[in-house]
Amino acid sequence: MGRKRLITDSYPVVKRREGPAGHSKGELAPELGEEPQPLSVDEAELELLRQFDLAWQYGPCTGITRLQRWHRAEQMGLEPPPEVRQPLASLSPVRYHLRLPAHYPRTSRHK
Amino acid sequence: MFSEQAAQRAHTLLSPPSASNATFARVPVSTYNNSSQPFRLGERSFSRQYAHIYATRLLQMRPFLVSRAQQHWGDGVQIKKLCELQPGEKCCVVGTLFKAMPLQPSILREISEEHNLLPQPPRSKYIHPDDQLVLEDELQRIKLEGSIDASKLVTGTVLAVLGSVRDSGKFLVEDHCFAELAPQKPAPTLDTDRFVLLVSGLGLGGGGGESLLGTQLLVDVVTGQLGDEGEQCSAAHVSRVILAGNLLSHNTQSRDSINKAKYLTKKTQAASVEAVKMLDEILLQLSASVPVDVMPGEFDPTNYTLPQQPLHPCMFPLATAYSTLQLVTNPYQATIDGVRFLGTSGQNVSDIFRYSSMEDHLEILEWTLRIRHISPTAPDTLGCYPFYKNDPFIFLDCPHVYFCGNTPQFGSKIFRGPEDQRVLLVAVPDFSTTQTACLVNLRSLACQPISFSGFGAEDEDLGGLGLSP
Repeated sequence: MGRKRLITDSYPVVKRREGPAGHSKGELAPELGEEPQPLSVDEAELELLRQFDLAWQYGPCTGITRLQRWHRAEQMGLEPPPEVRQPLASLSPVRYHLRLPAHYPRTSRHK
Repeated sequence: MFSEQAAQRAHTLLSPPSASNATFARVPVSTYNNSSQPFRLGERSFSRQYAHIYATRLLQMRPFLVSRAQQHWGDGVQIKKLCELQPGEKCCVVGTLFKAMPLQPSILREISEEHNLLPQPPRSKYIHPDDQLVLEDELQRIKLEGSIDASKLVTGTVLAVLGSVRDSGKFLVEDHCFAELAPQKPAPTLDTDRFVLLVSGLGLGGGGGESLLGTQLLVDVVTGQLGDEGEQCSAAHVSRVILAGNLLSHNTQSRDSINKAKYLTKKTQAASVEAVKMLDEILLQLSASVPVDVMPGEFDPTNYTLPQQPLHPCMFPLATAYSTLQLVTNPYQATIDGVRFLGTSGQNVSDIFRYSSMEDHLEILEWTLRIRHISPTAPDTLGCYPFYKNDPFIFLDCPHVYFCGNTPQFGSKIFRGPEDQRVLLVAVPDFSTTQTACLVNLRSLACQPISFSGFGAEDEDLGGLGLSP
């Protein structure tokens, strides 16, 4: 699966050679090299679900499953995106239905 | 109306027994529909926070408030969210109100050592001239000042304010409006007089003999065992009885046995056990004769948070044999003969009384109807179940009769809404102190108090007879 991406990955690396090959020395090079590669299908869906969680229009996201929140938004007439509904209907509940706090970047640690 | 009908018939009490006896059949209930389904809770989960109920409340109320704001201040009024406000620009904002009250009991302040506060004794009202109003919408909050009366409003009200943001960051309010009444289906026209009896605060287990006599008189009147043929004929027109909460007295809730040593309290029963047995006998007498709806109240053995769930039928082994006994939720909503009833046992109104300057319970009842919410203080100062899907306390349509129980005195009023809605507001008094019940006439939508009292051996009575020394 690879290392968890941290917000510090987007910071410019100070003491680094950026050769054309990109992976000459150090562990950081392979991770930096991974950035532009497309995310796998699973990852893309998870990313979509996380964006749905953080959208403020549909109300608070903690304490209820994503499917419950999607249905609530639909009943209120907020027109939640149907592409979020698809993975929730088909995929395993444990992985996709609850917003797990560990996945989100720890912005509170930085100033 | 009730006693006028009774007076018209000939007196038959002191006549010799006759072979034929007059019998009066009770008016049948043609249609009854219990629509309290939104207040019924199935599986309960308390792992949620209360942010959901506030978010859904604002989401559901927003369209009503936007249309009212446009009606009041013209179609051209700009309705903005708090994040879009520009200083000095006049616009309208819809949001939930929060009232910061210094006197509000706060457990955190009490246990905090730096304040060194002693626990406050309970007061009847927690308002203070320094109360601050804050308006919150989905993302931000802003302090309100200007022509808005902070003493009348309570936390949790959703309203629309018209004004502009000052440079100080506060919002200067010029005018505000509530959601007003919901649409109402027209009341049906009935051909005969039918009455519904509303009683609340029976207060059994309170230890006083006075209220027991009053309760027994009430049961006898309704079951037709009291009075002459005239009264019995009128009593036959009572089609339903609604007991609106506080069937047990608050004395049954005393926790003295917790503080005493175990050997002293081993054989003692909770006070509510005896009281529930008395209640069962009274319900048995009532439900043998008339359909009864029993709502739980503040001191009854059911859950504390609103909406209170129905009392369990296992507590009433004698009375549940009759199908006329219905154990219902608090708040209670039903359609009786086409007339929509909605009411609570009074916890919502007494909580608003504590945090607002309004003195009259009937006025508070009218105010909850105007803001289109049964209990705006619900998660804040009144216990509430953490709903997430929708807020069931919002009025989706307007009732014909709106009542609340356990008020200090009887009050009733016809309230007219902006779209010709007509609502009968009834403040049902506490029976254990006032010995008064309410009779609602479904045909004319009028309400009449009916009092029961016995003559006690008091000094004033004897003085009147010239017998006292």
